[in-house]
Amino acid sequence: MKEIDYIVGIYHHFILNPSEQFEPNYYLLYLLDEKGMLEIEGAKDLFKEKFVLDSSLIQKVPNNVIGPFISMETLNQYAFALCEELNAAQINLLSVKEYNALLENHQTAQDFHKDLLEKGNVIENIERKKKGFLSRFFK
Amino acid sequence: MSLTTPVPRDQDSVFPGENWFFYWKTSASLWKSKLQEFPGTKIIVPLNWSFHSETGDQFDFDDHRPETNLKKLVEIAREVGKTVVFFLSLGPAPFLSNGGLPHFLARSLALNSEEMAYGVIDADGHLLKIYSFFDPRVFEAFDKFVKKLGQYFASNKINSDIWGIRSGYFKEEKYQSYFEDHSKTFESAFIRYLQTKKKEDEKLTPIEEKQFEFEFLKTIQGLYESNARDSLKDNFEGVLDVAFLGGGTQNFLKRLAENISTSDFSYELYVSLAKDIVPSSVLLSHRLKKGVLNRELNDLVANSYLPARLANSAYEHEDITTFLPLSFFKVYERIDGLSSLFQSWNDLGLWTFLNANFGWSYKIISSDTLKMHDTKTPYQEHIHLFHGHDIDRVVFNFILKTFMNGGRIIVNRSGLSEEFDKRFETFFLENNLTVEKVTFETKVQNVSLGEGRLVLFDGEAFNQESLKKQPDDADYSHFWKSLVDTFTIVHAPINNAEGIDYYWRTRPSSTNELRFEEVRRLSLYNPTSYRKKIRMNLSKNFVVYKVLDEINVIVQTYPNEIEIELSPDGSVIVDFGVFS
Repeated sequence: MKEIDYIVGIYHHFILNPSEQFEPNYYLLYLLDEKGMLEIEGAKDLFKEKFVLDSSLIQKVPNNVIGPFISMETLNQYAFALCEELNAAQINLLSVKEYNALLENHQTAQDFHKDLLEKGNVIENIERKKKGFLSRFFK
Repeated sequence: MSLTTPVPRDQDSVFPGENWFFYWKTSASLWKSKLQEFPGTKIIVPLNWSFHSETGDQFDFDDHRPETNLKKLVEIAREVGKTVVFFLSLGPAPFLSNGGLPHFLARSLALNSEEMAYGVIDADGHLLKIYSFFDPRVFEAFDKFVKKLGQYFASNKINSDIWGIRSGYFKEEKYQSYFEDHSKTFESAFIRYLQTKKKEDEKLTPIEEKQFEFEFLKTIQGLYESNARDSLKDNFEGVLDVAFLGGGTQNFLKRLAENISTSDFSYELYVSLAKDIVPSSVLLSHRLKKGVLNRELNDLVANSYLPARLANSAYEHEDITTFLPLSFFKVYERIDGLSSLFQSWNDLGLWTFLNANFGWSYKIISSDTLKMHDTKTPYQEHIHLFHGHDIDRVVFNFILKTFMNGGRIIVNRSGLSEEFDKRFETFFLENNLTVEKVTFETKVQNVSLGEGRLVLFDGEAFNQESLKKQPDDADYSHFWKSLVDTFTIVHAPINNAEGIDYYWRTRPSSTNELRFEEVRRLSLYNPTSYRKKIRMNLSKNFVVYKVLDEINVIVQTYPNEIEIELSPDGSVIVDFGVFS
């Protein structure tokens, strides 16, 4: 498995089907790491295994979106679980508003990418840190 | 070590792809030498609004900077034997800073359907953003610009064609317009529009609101278009939708990490051709396009599809030496902002079936392009497919007209209104037509009239009972194969084509090819890093006529068979003579 340092999740809080639902939920729209997009299937499987309370709710969720998460706390828990699953050092969660503000304030793609990986609500994978540098050589 | 001559970087910026020329990126004193080097005869010149007007009130057409002298550009092009075709953006232009808006008008970031700001990386690696076109100040300034442009063209007797372009990108297989906006600017304009449309206390359902939202977007887009048409008069040729490869958010994020493959773009290229949307690679650097993608763009777009679209506003091109896309199916898909709520062709596994069996030999028609397909192409027989929920008076009349002229139609009854259900029944009764009924996975009705056939099936009622599970792509493929096999289609399927990009085109035979009725051109490209071997069993109707442009490929022909081995980055064009 490739070693991942950063995962970035861009999420939004909205009503997916306004004709059927009244309460907004959180949804992860994009997941990326420092090398590109994360494969969505694995992340979706983790969500289905541990975070789905009502399977009828996920039927109308587009394939490329993960959710619904009923609260920010659940989204954070999922983000941490994903981070552990992929043995990543940290995961940053950005709302689309934060993403938009970041994009508006950058002039170069390189700087924007750098900040995208570092800004936002950062959740660290302390277990990986504990294992430390040497664990990479003693798998 | 590369054995090919590297393209100078300046040339990349000025000629970013498909014969586009960015006149503002080079000195006017170099225009002649650059255009002389240019291989094509038709040069696409996108107009850069902000380059001619920094303030929105004052304009520069050779008043200050020689690079704004469009008359001179047209004259130089003529001197070196080229023709200029101008493109005028009727909304955001993703290849320009601020989406093409003069700096002082770029106030509110436009947001896509996910409420994310549009981010674009251009061919030079610059980060570009798009601003809202729903600000009334933007509309007023655009109006002034096109009026000034029209006066400039008229007073300088510039008779070049100007095409209005509506820019978009692909989100999965769906074409999305950069005009679409969910920003506060859009919202406040939409609220004002809604106030004129509904009664004071009237409460709209989410679906009604979505409908109004789409109607509002189309109305404003139409205003930009009609102002340009009125101001540019005879120069204005029409409107084209242009899909910018790599312009969607998914590809933007991939490009940020510089981790993107050519297949991400080639897929968009082929969907674009299927939807009759002009593909453009101007956001991609020549480094990203190296290898087969560059050849695909040259063969299928720059030297084929684009000249045909620009030659005539009608789809059919009169020059019989030009190869046009081959299509066996015309699949209708309405775009009205609500289509995602109903059963789609994707839900019915149609795209998987068509791609596996016919490659990209189909067209996806929308209400915008229906007129282009109104006339029957003489040497291409199509099967037309419609959803019940897309059938209105226009589509219903189109179906009956096509059927009575010997055409072949398949209708998915899903969402068919009671009114049109009754009209079909009345039509069958009045014309004394026999309706054959069969249950195969779902309820199917078949009606024939001379050569014409009309098949209606119930897409919502696929027989989940007999399958004991939710139907999947394999079940749908079985249904589609059985249904399509009841029609006659002259086609040479390709075996083992996974990972290979291929595209069929066709033209009628010329006077010295009278032993054929038609010549079909198959272009094959291997974008993978593996060697690929494909085999085609040719029926009696097909003969290998010519093998062209062989690059890293071995072609072997046998009686009734052709075997093609493509090395990585390999490509080849094979022409087949076809007769009945």
